[in-house]
Amino acid sequence: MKARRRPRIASVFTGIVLAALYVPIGLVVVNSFNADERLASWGGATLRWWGETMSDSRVLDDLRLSLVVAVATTVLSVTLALADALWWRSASPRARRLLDGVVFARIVLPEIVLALGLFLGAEQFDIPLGTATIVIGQAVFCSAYATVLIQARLSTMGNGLEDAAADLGAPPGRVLRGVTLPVLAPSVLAAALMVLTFSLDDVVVAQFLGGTEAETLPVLLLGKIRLTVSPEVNAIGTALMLVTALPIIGLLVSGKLPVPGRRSQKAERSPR
Amino acid sequence: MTRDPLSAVRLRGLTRRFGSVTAVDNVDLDVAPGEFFSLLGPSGCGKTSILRMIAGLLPETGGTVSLGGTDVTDLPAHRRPVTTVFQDYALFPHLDVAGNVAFGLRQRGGRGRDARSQVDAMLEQVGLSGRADARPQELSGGQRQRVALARSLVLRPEVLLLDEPLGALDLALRKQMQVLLRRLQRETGTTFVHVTHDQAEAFMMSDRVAILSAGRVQQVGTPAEVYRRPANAFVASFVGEVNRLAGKVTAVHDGGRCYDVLLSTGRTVLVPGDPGPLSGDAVDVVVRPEDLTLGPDGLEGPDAVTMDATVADLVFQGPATVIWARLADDSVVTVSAAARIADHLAVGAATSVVWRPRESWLLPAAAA
Amino acid sequence: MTQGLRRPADRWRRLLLVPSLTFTTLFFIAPLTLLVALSFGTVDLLSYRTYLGWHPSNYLRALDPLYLQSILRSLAMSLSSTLACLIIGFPVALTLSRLSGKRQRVLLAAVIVPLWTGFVVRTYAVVEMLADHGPLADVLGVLGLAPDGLSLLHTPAAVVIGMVYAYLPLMVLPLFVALERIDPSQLLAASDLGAGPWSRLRRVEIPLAAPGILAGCLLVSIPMLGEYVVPTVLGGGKTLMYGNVIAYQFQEVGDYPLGSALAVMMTTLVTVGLVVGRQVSARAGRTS
Repeated sequence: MKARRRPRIASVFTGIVLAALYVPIGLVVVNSFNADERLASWGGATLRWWGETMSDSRVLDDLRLSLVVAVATTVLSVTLALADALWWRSASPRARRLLDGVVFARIVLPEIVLALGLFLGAEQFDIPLGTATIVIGQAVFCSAYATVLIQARLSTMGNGLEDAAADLGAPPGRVLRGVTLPVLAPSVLAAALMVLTFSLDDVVVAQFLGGTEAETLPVLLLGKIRLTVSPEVNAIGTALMLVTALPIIGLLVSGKLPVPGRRSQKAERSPR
Repeated sequence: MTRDPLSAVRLRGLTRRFGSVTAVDNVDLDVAPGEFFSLLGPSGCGKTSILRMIAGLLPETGGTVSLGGTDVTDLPAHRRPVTTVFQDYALFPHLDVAGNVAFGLRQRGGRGRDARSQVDAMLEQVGLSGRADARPQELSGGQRQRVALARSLVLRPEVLLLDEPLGALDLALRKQMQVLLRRLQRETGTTFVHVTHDQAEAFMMSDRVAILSAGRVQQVGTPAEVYRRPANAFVASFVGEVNRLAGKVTAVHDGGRCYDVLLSTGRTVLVPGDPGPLSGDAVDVVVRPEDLTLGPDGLEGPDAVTMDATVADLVFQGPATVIWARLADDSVVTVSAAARIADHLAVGAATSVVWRPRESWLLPAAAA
Repeated sequence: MTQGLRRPADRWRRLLLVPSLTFTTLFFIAPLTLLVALSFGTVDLLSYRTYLGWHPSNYLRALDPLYLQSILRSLAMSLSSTLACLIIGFPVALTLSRLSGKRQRVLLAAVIVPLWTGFVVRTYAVVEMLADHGPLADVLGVLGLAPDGLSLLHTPAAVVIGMVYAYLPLMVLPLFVALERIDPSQLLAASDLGAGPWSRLRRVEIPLAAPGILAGCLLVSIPMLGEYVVPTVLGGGKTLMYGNVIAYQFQEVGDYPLGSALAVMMTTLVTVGLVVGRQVSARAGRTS
């Protein structure tokens, strides 16, 4: 129950801002059906560009690679994050601070520095650039985000439930399998979906660590954008948008999206 | 495992330090099988630490824990024949009520219908029969409490540990649960070790209590013993309101079980106590407000002592009235008298305080 | 935290650390170390072989006006974009905090959703909007402004617009959280003492939301410093921002030592920014 009145100006302004946020996106979608190749004006609706895009082998290959990379990155990141979070609980305060710092650093460091550092490393040690290097590069910062998410859940969970399980006769293995992991499951799922989205959307690491072999869809899009504006690009862009939004739509539908507010708080970028 | 008929839980020299803080200091305790035993004390006195060490959830810095005669000090929590009801219940959110209650049974290999019937029987006993499919999140505090109880009791432990289980409940619910706990203990014959800071609660449910302060056991006894014959000033004031009349020992009788005490009001009275104080020692005579009354109709008999006093203040409380009475030596005692006796009194009125010294108790003078 | 359970499996616990530790050391610490090491090295631009050594001169070259200009421009653009995000984002956060229940959730989702539609696509959307004869030009033409079309693309202004567009939701979130946390009874008290709506905003809400404002500014400005995609797309081929400068050294020129020095400098800048930010918020926390 809010007693405060909304100043009309702010509401109108908000409406304008929201429109400004969505109109460009909407435009991308709409123009993917625009028959005018130059996009100078509306040339009528057509499915031509979609047809071309969907049958373009390069696009399809890139899409497949994006998905493969995303899944691999997610598996890697979530595993690392789980291991980290579980270890953190029984670590000394000093070790904890160290881990927190490293997690924080991975989130805060500009992605370009990270990507170039790895690029340099690959080059110095003659490691070929490709899918594997992309996955590793993405996992470096994605695992940090996942750690923050899982750790938040672990800290609200506290030791109580595991103490209770042991008290009831469960040996440590059973405690892990029967209590810790099931209770963590929702946050692990949320972390996985988050990493999927980040990975599908990532372009900096993908570009610098993909080499000539591995091209993900965002990298393809980036390349094309620099050259031209065309409905075909719009179609690719819209396709990418849908793919990237899928995990989040799944999350929203399952009702588990952590939304900031008075009570719940989505983990901000800097972990404490 | 040989069962020691005399001791369900035996603690010897139990010590726990957290850095420079000694939370539990060399505690010796024996809990008899089948008794309802409470650890009573203010927060920070170490009672929860002791409980957790019995359960195996907190490693001890020193000392031993024995259950039923067997030393379990080096045994991890999941192998000890005790279960705990936690303060926050610690119900597993990913399991329903039946799943929670069956958790320990499943661990032991119980399956199918046999386990299910035990679970159902236990739920019936705690009054939750219809709720087996509910999730903990859907239950009220009192219901969760009972699930936690059922979950622990269904395993028929030798000892059930309860860590301030009623702390989060409102008054009416708490009274209900106290009755339930008492009944369950009697019905199952399980040894209960219960931790609380609430004196009334401990007295209501327990066969014996241990009063703890600053990591040490101050006194162990039945509620009546602890109340009527406190071991020291701390126990005396922790378990109830208390008056302390300062005085000096003039004679020791009966091997130290009876003393002549010269009060600072000038009277000499005969007071029971424990051996220890010697003639000439400063002592406190400990009297409960309800053992004092106001004259002249208060008490009769040759052993009744009357002291002149003036009313300093009085407060009507319903069943009783509390009167603060100033004695001849200017000390003030608290009297809890039936309302009709104090009806006619007002502040400043002259009256007399009447009591039977044999209902009081002698303690060495407390350091100021 | 109290002592955990006494388990014989405690040594297994140590094992948990191994994967993450190896991974982080190999793929995070090591690359950064390599960057620092190489920043003191040299390169033979003919053979593209790099040599380690002690040549702090790279840093001097990095501060050459050529690059310094880009860096300073980066900072300026980052700051102005952050400011724009703040000015635009605050009323939105305010409106959000004044709603409740379902409406609030829906509106909040509406603000967050764009974040999940893909960074590159959203930047491309801005390209489309700002095209010389694109929709924005049409709208302005109707209004009588810019009759010959826009030439916004490939300018710093376009990059700023692009960054604001991309990061706005990220600014709104912490602002919203901070405003939402304000106890309504404090506003009632202010009103009771005679403060009208604007006064309340100015003297109660904004000061109380200050930590959120700071958090939002940090959350937005720090990544903007290292932004690569937006200036690449909207800035044309020019090396408008810091990220582009560094990438250029690596990709086009091949001068790894210089690029490394620039990267190390960027990292230092980010670190300084964070430290300063934390000091400011700590001080604000003490006086509030």
